[in-house]
Amino acid sequence: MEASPLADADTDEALMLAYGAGDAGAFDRLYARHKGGVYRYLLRHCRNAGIADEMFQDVWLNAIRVRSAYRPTAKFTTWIYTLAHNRLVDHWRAEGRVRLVSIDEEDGEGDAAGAVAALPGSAHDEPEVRVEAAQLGEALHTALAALLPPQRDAFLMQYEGGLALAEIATLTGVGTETVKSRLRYATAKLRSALGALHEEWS
Amino acid sequence: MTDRTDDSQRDPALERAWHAHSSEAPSAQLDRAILAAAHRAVGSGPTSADAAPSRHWWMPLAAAATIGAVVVGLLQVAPRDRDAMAPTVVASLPNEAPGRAALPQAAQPMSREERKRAAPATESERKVERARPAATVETSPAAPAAPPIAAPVAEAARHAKKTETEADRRDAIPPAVAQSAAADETRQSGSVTPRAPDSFPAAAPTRSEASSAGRAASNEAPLRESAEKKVDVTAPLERSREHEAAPAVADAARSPAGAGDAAGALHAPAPATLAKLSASTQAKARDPEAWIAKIRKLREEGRTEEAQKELREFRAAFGDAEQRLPPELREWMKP
Repeated sequence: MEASPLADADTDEALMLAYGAGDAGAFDRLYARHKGGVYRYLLRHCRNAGIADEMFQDVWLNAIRVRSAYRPTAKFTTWIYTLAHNRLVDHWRAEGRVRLVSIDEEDGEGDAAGAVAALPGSAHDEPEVRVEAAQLGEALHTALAALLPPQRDAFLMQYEGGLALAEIATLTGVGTETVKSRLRYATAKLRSALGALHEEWS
Repeated sequence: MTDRTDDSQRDPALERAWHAHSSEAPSAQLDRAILAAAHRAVGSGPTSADAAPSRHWWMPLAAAATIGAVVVGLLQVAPRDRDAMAPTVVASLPNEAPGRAALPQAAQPMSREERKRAAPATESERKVERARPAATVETSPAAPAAPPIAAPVAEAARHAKKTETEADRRDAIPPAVAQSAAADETRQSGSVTPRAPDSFPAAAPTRSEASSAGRAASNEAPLRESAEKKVDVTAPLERSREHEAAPAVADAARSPAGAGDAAGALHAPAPATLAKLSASTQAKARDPEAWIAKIRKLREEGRTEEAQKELREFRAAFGDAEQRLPPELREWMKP
């Protein structure tokens, strides 16, 4: 970011600062921009609309609560996804299944590739049959759900939140290369889910 | 907002397919709830931390108002208590300014408002007195339809009547004995002159209960105000009665007894003082000329003892009795 966030009054950061100063309309615009991405980020992780609603509300209420403490040292997107990520970790902790250890740190790339190949929606299934039997979106969601949480997390942050590698790395507390690796595996899996349709979307 | 340096990591086909099939959004209800919360937070102040105390700014004000109301309420009640304590204070000062402290209300300065309020009852009292024979010193009860001031007046009149009846009954008993007996009886009955709430304004907290009672008992007194200005109403008899009553009242007040005793000490003097004052008021209520005529008549009829007794009472009742008495009576029995 070369320019100051405040240089453009329409940036996320400027809107958040305006909201912190008492401009409720700024929040409306900010919320409209990011509500979908944040919601889907949470929904794809927990796969339960009720829980996603609850976490989503918590994230935004938390943003409202700490609005005066917001400083545009980072992008607003990074900040709001950090809140969402932390809320998600709390949820996993509460469920007793925190498993954010990267497979990259435990397994080699070959193992990871094997793990991806073993996931549902691999080449063993006929894409045409699945597309006919179910919607492509459902296949994608199923493939995403089959990913390891760190891969899914990185994928969702990039595809829903639009975060850069460095931002995802900072947010998740791992190196950029690790994020790259996670994204590579996640993308490969989802491409596989697309199958023959991948060309159509190209 | 996306950093384009990461484009190499993105698969455009996957991205399009993903966004085409991933369009879930929070419900409208959830949107409304969050937006409402955001607006509320901003509407009540710049920050929630600052807003919390500002929402409760009125609490100390409400507490202060409540305390103020309680204090005002207590102050409304307090003057009456001070009034009730007054007789003890007055009774404990028997020798100070002879006759003044224990004077009936007629001798005390009376505010214009008090006189105004006392006037109707006094008028009715005066009418009753006019209709009454001069020899019988009997106070009629106050008119039932009298305004609030009539309540204490009626009570005082009742006390006075009772005392008089007793005095008449014990005609043979010396006046002082009869007086003390009446006072004792009144004290034993435990009846306290009831006061209408608005009869005694808080503006006169130092006025004694005795004087208040006297004021009530001798509501005819203000009518005789002009006459009493001429004569010294602080007759020796009355002063001596007051002096008799004072030590007992003062002792009761000084007694370290409990609250009940203290209350008794506060309330006991009123009837006693009232009875005494009523008696002296009765004496003064008698027409001096008629009284002198009665003494003359008794003397002429040869009822010397009765005539002398009446003469003694006359002298006791009026400070300037010697000026009022005709020379023959003055010479007949010297004081």
